[in-house]
Amino acid sequence: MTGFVLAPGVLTAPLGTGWAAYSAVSGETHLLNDESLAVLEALHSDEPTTVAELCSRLAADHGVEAMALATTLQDCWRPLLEAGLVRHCAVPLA
Amino acid sequence: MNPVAALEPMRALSQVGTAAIQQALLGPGLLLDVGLAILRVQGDAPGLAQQLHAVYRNFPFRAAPGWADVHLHIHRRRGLRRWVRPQVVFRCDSEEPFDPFPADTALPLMEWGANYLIGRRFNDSLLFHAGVVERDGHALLMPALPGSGKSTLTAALSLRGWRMLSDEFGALDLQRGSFRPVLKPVALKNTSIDVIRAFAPEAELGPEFPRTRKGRVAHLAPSAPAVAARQNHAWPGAVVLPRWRPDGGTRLEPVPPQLVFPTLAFNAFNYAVLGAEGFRAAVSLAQTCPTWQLEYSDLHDAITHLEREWPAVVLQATARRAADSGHEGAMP
Repeated sequence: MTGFVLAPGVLTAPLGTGWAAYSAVSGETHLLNDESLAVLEALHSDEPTTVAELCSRLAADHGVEAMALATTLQDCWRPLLEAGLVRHCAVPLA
Repeated sequence: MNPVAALEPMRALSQVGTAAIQQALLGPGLLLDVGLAILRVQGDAPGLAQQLHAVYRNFPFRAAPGWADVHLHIHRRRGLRRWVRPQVVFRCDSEEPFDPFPADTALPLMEWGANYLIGRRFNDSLLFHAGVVERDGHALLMPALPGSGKSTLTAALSLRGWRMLSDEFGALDLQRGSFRPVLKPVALKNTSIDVIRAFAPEAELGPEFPRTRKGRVAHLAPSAPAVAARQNHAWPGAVVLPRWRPDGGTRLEPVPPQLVFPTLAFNAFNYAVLGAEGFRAAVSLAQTCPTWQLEYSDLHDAITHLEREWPAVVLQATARRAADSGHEGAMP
């Protein structure tokens, strides 16, 4: 099963209505919206997380339905992966 | 006090003859302390002594051997080029990073070379591509793309009582969190030269270079008080993104931090080199400094708009620093 981890050394900071993120690995800086920032904050660098787990975690934090969140976050993964802020990772079977 | 400044002789370049400058250029080198760096200039480029005499006129004359951070050599090209369309070359550490310039443009070549080297080397500061002036101990940072009127506005403010720190580098000292002067002549280009001449007929402009790669160029000499204060830092105050619009009125519009940050960070010379430190510093400035986009066509009106905002900027910055450090009024 595939999950995601936060890339090492990612820094984030609020900037008005948006966010900035810096990757120590790529040296790149990116501007993020609230949804992408929420994904980064919910991920860990040493604990692979599936999309379902992440949606459940965020849903519990924000009081919304996990299914609705999965749709909202659908567009976040690709840019976060391409930006090097998030990485694919195998999730160990329970 | 800076130990180098303490040892400086009293004579400025304007007070020594061009022969003494020429002798220094041909000998141990002319040392120019611009605040962030000490430049050593050497070479036999024709006219360079007279040009330096004009635009570094208020800088102390130092020709003795001593420490320099940047070594600039501006030499006549040898061989046939000594007589046929003569050229000058810029050399530093045995490298020639640029193509030769026509021999009558030694000063623009030297200034270009000095900026190139400063932008590549001084990585203890985050070097924004910006003009910086100071009033009441606080810096007004003006980052902008070429052609936006950054140099014109920097020059005009410096001619209206603001202390110039730099026309080219907003050098944010990462340890102290304050701006350091990189005080060099302001390179005015094309119509900016006429605008500044009309704005301040008393402005000390050097010789005009009609055919450089950037068009017509003339340099504004930094004032004597700005030179005397070139080791004095300034706390971050505000950011202005200037935009010259020849036919419009003056507009000062607030800019939100999410738009300020990329303008600051992605126009800095060494943001990528500094990594996380640069990110934190640029974020901090974008979060804390009030920022405006300034569209202007009339310099008097633009300065009036800025000066109207400035007392509130200083109050806000002072309160912020007091909250951060637990004491008020510390000098940078």
